[in-house]
Formats: sequence, C-alpha cells, structure tokens
Amino acid sequence: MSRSERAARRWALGALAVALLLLPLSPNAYVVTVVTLAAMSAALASAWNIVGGYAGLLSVGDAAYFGIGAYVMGLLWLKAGVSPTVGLLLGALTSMVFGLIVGTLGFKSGLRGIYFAVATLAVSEIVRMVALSLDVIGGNMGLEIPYVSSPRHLLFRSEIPAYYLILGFLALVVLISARIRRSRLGYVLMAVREREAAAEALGVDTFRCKMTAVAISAFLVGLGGGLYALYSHYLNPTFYFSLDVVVKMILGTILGGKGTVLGPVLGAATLSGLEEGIQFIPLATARAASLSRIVYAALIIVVVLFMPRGIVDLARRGRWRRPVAALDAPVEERLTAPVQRTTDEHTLR
Amino acid sequence: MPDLPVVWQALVSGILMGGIYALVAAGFTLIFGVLKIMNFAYGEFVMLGMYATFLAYTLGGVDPYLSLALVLPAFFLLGIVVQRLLIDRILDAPDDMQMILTFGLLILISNLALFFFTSDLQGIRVGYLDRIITFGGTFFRSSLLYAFVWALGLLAATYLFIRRSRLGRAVRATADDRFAARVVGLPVRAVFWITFGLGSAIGAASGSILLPYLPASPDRGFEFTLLAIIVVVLGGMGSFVGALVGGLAIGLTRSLGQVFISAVLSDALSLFVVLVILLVRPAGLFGAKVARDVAI
Repeated sequence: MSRSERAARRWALGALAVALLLLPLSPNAYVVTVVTLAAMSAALASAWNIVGGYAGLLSVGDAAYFGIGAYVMGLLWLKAGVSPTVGLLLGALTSMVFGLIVGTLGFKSGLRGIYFAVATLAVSEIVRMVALSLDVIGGNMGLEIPYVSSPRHLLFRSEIPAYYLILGFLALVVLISARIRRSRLGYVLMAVREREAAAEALGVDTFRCKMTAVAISAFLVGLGGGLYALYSHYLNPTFYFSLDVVVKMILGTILGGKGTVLGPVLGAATLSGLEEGIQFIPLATARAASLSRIVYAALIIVVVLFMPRGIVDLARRGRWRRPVAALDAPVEERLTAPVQRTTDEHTLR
Repeated sequence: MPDLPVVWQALVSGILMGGIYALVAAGFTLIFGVLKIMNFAYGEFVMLGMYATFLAYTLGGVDPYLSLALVLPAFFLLGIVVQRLLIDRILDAPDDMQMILTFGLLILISNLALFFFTSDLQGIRVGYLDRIITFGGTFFRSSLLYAFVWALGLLAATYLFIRRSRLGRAVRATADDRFAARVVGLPVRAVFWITFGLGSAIGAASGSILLPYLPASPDRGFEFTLLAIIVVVLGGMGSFVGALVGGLAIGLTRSLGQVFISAVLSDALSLFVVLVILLVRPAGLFGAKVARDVAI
C-alpha cells in the first residue's frame, strides 16, 4: 500500500468515525438502532475472526460465550446488586475461563475441523439447554433488566449512551484484532491455520497460542454479550445461546473476508444492514419475516459459492475472483488431474 | 423415585423411538461417510418429508405409509439436484465453507416451509394409527409401533443395498477412498449424486413415517440434525450399525431421562455424552477406524 493510499484510508476512517459519532443528532431514531445492531455484529464477527479467521479453528460455540457474558452481568446486577460496570468485566472473564476450558479439552484431545465444530456446538447447546431449564435465572421466560437511569452503573433509559458504548466496543475489538494480526501471536495463529505440524516442528508452542487466541476471543464475545444485554434490557436463553448468534458471526466474517482485519467488520455490517433493509420490501403479510430470512439464506449460499474470499479480496482485486481454483473443475477432472512432480524427482532419476 | 411400571414403560417407548432415530441418523451417516460432508441441512429433509406426507394425506387422502412410494423417489431426485447444484461445488472447500453452506440451506428450507405452511403444528389423524396398544403393562399409540416397524424395514433395505448390491459396493468403495475408487474406474461423481439422493430420501422417509405420531412444524429440522449428529457421533461417524445402536441408546436415554430428570436436561445429557466421546474416542463406539481429520 502506497503512502497516498494509506493517507486516503486514514481520512476515510476519520470521516466515518466522525459520522458515527454525530449520528445520534439525526432526527431519525431508527437509524441509530440499525447502526447499533450493525456495530454489535461487526464487533462480534471481528472477535470470532481471531480464532476462526486467523487460526482457522472452526468454533461454533461462541453463542455460549455471548450468553454467559450477558447472564453473569445481568444476574449479578439483578440478584446481587453488583454494578454492571464491574459485572461486564466479570461476565467477560467468566466467558474467558469457560473458553479456556473448552479450548483445553478440544486442543488437548486434538480435535480439528468439523470435529472441533461439533464439540463446540455441543458445548453451547448444553449451556443453552441448562439455561432453559434453570428457573432461578428466569428459564424460558428470561429476565428483564429494568429501565432505570443510572450512568454510574451504565444503565440508561435512552438508547444513545448504549450506542456509544457499543461503538467504543467495536473500536476496541478492531484495535485488538489489528494488533494481533501484526504480532507474533498473529503469525503463529496463521501458521496454525496453514500447517500446524510445521509450526510445531519449528518449536512453536502452538497450544499456548491457540489458548491465548481463544481467551481473547471469548473475553471479547462475553463483553459483547453483556453490552448487548445492557442495550436491549432483556435476557433470554433462546436468543443469547442461539445458533443464529454464531452463524451471523461466521457468515459476517466469511462475507467480508476471513483472516483480515476489516473484512469481518465490513461483512457483518453489510449483513446486518441487509437484514434490516429486506424488512422494508413492501409485503403486507405476516410472512415478510420468513421472506427476509429466505433472502438472507440465499445470500449465504451465493457468497460461499461465488465469493468465498469475501468483500475485501474483491475490493483489492477489483474483480470477481473465481472460487478456489480446484473447486471449478468437475469432480471427475479433479480426481484425474495429474500429480505435479517436483524437479527433484526428475534429477534423482 | 419413579416406580417400576413407569420405568418399564419408558424402556419400551424408548426402544420404539430409538428405532426411528436410527433411521433418521442412517441417512445422515451415509452422506457423511461417503461425501465427508456434515450436512447441517439434513434435518430439513426430514421435516419436508413430514410435510410431503401431510399434503398427500390431506389433499389426496393417501395413506401415510403408501405416500412413501411418492416421497422416496421425489426426495431422491431433490437430493440429486441439491448435490449437483450446491454440494458438488464445495466438496474440496475448507470445513467452514462447507458448514456455512449447509447452514444456509438449513435457514433457506426452514423459512420456505415457514412461508408456505406457517408455524402451526400440522398433524394427521388416521383411524388405525390412532389406537392405543397395550403390551406387557405398557401402552403406546399404534402409530409409534407402525413407525418403528417401518423404520426397521427401511433400515434393513438400505443395509442390504449397501452390503449386497453392486452399486452399494461402489458406494462403499467411494467412502473408503474416492481417489482409489476413481482409479479403478468407478463413476465417483455419480456415486456422490446417488449417495446424497439416497441419504435425503431416507431422511424424508423417516419424516413420513413419523408424521402420524409427531405433527410437522417448520422449525423441527434442526432438532433432527442435532439428533442425527448425536446418534452418529455416538455410534461412529459413517458407521451404519453404529447408527442403529446409537439410535436405540439415544431413544432410551431420552425416554428414561424424561422420567428421571426432564426432557431438556436429558437432551443436554446426551450431548454431554457426545462431547465426552468426541474427546476420548472420536471414532465413536462402533467406528472401525479413527476418522482422518482427527489428530495426527
């Protein structure tokens, strides 16, 4: 990237930041809601990207971190009167510890790929089912965080302070993600993604790096859960522990560009905006909701099939990239493709 | 502490449900074994099978089991179409791409069903399937016994096809090593189509035979996928016998769990068992060998 390009990018980011900060001045309150939700999904996708994108570990259990962060914060406030200022942190730490437990079990037993995915999915489903059947924490009905105005406890009647909190959260996640990307940790994580055995052969403690990544990611997702609970004033297991939460994180990341810093932000924000936008397609039926989900799902399929490297890659190249080379060929051709010989083999003969 | 008759009742209905779970899992394990794809949209085919039978009964008065003659070929073809249009393209893609694609399919199908059928429960009442059968002090609806018998029949038919027919042997060879299968001249691509079609047809058929017992609703799909994953991990990924044993084990766990703890917590318990198995013995209880993606 040249110097002028970098300056242009800095100006663009600055302008975006100012626009976001001034947004609540807009007479249309709905715009703030849309941007709040978009910023929240962007931050969550970025946090997922640290494990799922950089390290390529397919974690499907992040809804558990999200829900735990939210519930710990909410319960501490409702049942013990612990201020959400402290509760947010405690919730995020609990998520982190939980993530470390899941990580230890998963990595020590060598689970990979889809098996790691199934294990993390099982964990988050167990947590959801337990939360559903615990009446102490509201069970199926959930819990409400009463609307009181108490800035000291980060509780507000209005939406706008929560909007700034969530923007701040997004900035924090993006900064951390960018730092990791350029740090030793980031390089190790990417090495794990490309070829873990090789990294280990070089003497890198990949286990420790994976655990660090999971800890950071789970902490951030847990923090996001707590902030979302403060924003929505409502806690229920069907939403917080749902697969939807994590599918959105993964899809936002893939749509934007896995393993990049800005990709997940762009992808998740786009997705979130689309989801809101589709609801405006005039359809005077109660079926509009399912129709918007149909469009959403079709989009998922199109993205995976035709732009698996995401928006960022598309923007960088300025053209559509064909799907991963080998995928284009029909199965039969791929199976019969000649094996590439290295030159060594020839010289040896 | 529940008394003995209650436990006996739970045991009998657990075995009956377990046979049906085994059929649900059979299609999933077939697809996973051959294509190495974890098809999260699988349960949607079960759900669609329920609706197909529902429509056949309400619109044409077709007996739910007779409707299998329609459902099996229809979903075999639908499966082939899905395989050609979508799955074929992602066979070599990274795990997360495969997963998110089948998730997309899951959301797509369940919302299409929601769009067309609304979220109301849709069941059917057929005279001979609505009786109460008593057996050794236990009682259950006749639809459950019929579903169990049909499930075992379809399982046996699939097993014979896989084990005894030439095509079945091609399917097994492809599952073992698709490259080697290609080298000896098997039409691997066609085998993939047939496998996905067959797996989808089995899933839809399990929905059909369940319908008289369990009403259909658009959001049931993921329950079935989760069930199939639990059963298949328990029995061993891609293992057919494992699906049967796993199905019975989960059927028993669920119905006994309902008696001793609660329905939701017993599901959590089976997921916990799955987790432990994944961590300790990833090949499952009956898996012949450790799956390739696990460990080094």
